Amino acid sequence: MTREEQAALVAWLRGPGVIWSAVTEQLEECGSVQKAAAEQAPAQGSLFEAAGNDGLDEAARNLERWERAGIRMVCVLDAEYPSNLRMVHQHPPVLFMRGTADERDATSVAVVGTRQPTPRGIDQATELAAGLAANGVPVISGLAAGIDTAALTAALTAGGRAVAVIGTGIDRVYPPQNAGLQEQIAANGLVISQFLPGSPPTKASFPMRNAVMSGYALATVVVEAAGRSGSRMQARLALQHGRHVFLMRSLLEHEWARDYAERPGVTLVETADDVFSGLQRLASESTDLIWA
Amino acid sequence: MASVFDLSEPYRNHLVPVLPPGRGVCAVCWRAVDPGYRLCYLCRIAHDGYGRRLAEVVAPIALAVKRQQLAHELWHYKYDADERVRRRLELRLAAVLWRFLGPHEAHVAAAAAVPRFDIVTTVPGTRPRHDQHPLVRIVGSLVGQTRDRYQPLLALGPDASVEGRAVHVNRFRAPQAIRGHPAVLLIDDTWTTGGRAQSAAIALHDAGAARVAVIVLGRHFDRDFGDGETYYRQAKAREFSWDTCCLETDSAWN
Repeated sequence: MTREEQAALVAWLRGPGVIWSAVTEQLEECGSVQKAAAEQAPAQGSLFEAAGNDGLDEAARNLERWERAGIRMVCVLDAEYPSNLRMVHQHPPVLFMRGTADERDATSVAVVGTRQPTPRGIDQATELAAGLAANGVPVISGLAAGIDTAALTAALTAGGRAVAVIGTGIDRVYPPQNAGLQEQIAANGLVISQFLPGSPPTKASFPMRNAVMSGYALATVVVEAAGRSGSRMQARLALQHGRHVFLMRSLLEHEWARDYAERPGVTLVETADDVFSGLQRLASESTDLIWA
Repeated sequence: MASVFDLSEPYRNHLVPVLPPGRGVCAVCWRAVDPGYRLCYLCRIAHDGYGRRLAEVVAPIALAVKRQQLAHELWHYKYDADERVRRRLELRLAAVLWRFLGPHEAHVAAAAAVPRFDIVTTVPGTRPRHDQHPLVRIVGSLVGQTRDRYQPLLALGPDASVEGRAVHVNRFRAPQAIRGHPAVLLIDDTWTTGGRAQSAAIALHDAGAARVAVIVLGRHFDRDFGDGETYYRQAKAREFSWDTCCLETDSAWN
């Protein structure tokens, strides 16, 4: 995608009242920013004109500044856009990335849980992430306090790959105490944000982030999560995406987890090995079907 | 080899069934209709124009709700830019079709008043593409229950590119006469207005098919259209099950 197209896309996404999911659809349907923009604003000519030179120039300057900061924008039309994420209906039109993409992420696991974990929860997240990392499985998490932080830290400590999917613009940090960890992941793994740089955390941005995390990973493991947590929401989103969910057996003390455990595509686990063996089956790339 | 059960079972988490037949549900296409009407506006227009040349029965596996997962898959298995995505979705949707046909093809045949379907075919894609249409691979190769009976009976007709989604007698054509008055099972991925599937059913009937039944993987559904939200809430409240299909309930219209 040319710089001009990237700038037009950024200007489009910044437009008032623009529905990002509709932008994704329009881009995929049309196959190029130019065609999609022309469809979007036929009365005004193409978006390149509709956005006005000021909007395009500003977007182009932003793109250069982001690039200097090591941030790259990947659009749904780019080959680098992750395949797993393409498969779910909540895939955003653009991703902002810092770090390196890796094909192993196609078989990655999202490890999520509460921001207020118990010591047992921290131990579980640490053992799980370290065990997955030892088996070469990239660990994805949200970079929130608590379980997310424990899982990402453990994956890095074990020498594995860590990917953080964050709920703010990629140039911001939330919570602030994770600034160092975010830098470490950008240097050794990958940080992803679906929001324009500069975007603050909002009530809506974290559930949206959970949808992208579910879509990016092959499966989600919930370590410790109370009834109304974002982690439970991610489990629900993953099932709506047709993705597999692993629940730590200790979650059965919660009614929501007992309910989820009855659903198809949900497995109770206790160790990283349990997750790893379940993952092997999910990752097999068959091209044929049998009635079984 | 992937198992039909393994691939199709997770769909229970997000598929939404069509409502059972009866008041408020179109007797052909299963969309919401004003109570008191048997058919929706488009199905009534089609019925008035083509009557018995239309499909004898239409059975959607589930609703393809706009901006939800099934609708997403039914577009991306054909058009995603990433071939790996297309292939993975193709295999999953094949599992969905096979899982449905296993217990329910007999119900569709009964509704079409035939003992079984002799031939299975697909509605041709109308967008040009460089490779074989994935629905042909699904029905003609991947699904064990259909591959031995699959025949490509239809081709694009002289009016294939006519704009709009209305039923059109020349949208498709059968290049050869269909001998022996067979019962034909016609598969399509998405039913939006029925214009394509019903145009295909007309071409099949005109070429010699005795009966035509349509199975669609998803019945397009827009929650924002008309009183879609009420229909959607009622349908969502009925949990999707592979053990039942929309034809198993006696219609209040019969």
